[in-house]
Amino acid sequence: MERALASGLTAVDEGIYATELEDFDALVRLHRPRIFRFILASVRDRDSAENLTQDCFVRAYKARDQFRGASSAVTWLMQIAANLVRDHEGSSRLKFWRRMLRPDVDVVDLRDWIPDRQRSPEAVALAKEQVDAIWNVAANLSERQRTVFLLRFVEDMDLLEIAEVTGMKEGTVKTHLFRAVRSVREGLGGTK
Amino acid sequence: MNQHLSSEQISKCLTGEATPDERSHLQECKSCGADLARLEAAVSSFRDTVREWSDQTSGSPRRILADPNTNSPMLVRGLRWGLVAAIVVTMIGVPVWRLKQRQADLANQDEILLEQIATGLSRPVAQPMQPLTRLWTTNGSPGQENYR
Repeated sequence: MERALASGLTAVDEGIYATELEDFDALVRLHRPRIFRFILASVRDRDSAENLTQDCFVRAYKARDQFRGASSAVTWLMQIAANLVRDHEGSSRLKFWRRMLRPDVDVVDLRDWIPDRQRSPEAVALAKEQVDAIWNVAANLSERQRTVFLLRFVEDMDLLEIAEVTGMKEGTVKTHLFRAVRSVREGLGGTK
Repeated sequence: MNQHLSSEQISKCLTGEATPDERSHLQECKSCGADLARLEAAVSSFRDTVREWSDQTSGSPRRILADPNTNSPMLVRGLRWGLVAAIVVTMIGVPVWRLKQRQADLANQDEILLEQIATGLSRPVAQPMQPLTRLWTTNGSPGQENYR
């Protein structure tokens, strides 16, 4: 309760958040696309993203009794997802074996997924160039910078929510986000 | 603020960390405003593309929550690593087993040879000379069969 009040939540908020977990199937249906999207953008591999998303909900299901409603369910799920992504990144030493076991993994070309939205060919070409640049920059960011960048600009989370998800202080989140944006800007060729 | 915003300041504006001075500069300066707009448009394209990719890629949620132990990704992963372990054990184990077999064969052959040598040494007369011993009786006189 004290923790909730300290984070600006009222007892009513806590109650609302806690009831979110009562119908777990509904929770999965509601939040799975978002969790999957964050994991997919982080690990860039559909099968790994599917597995990690599954792991995320299994862990959440097993730990649902420990959820006290101090944050929203999606923040809590995102927290689990971010930890899973970090563990996945940590096992990069085993990439060789993973590739050996999964030779069907293709390199993702994000440009193939640019929505058309009746834009001119020039605008689509420019968007492809920009998306490609950001995608390449994101691949080379540190795991923390990438997580913060994706949570902010793909998941539209504010700094406080990101701090809660990543377990970092708000100031640290700001620093990581600023560095990530600076790298993206450099990748886009926009330096002064 | 007459100077254009630096790259760092533009980045700060995108993350929502701009100071009031920087914000007012953005409203007045077309160049900096366009710079920020370009960056925002690029990030927005990125967001839309990732969302489109995810929407098109996402499979339906697997029904594991009723029984988290069935078809668990952990189980699949465990099986994969089990397979790798089996391959590694086979790759190392088979040559070691063959080497031991060969060593055992060699030891066996050595034993047979030593036995043969021991047998040869224990004979009173060397093997090539044994046919000659038949020509002599036990008391030293020539055998009868040789006179027939």
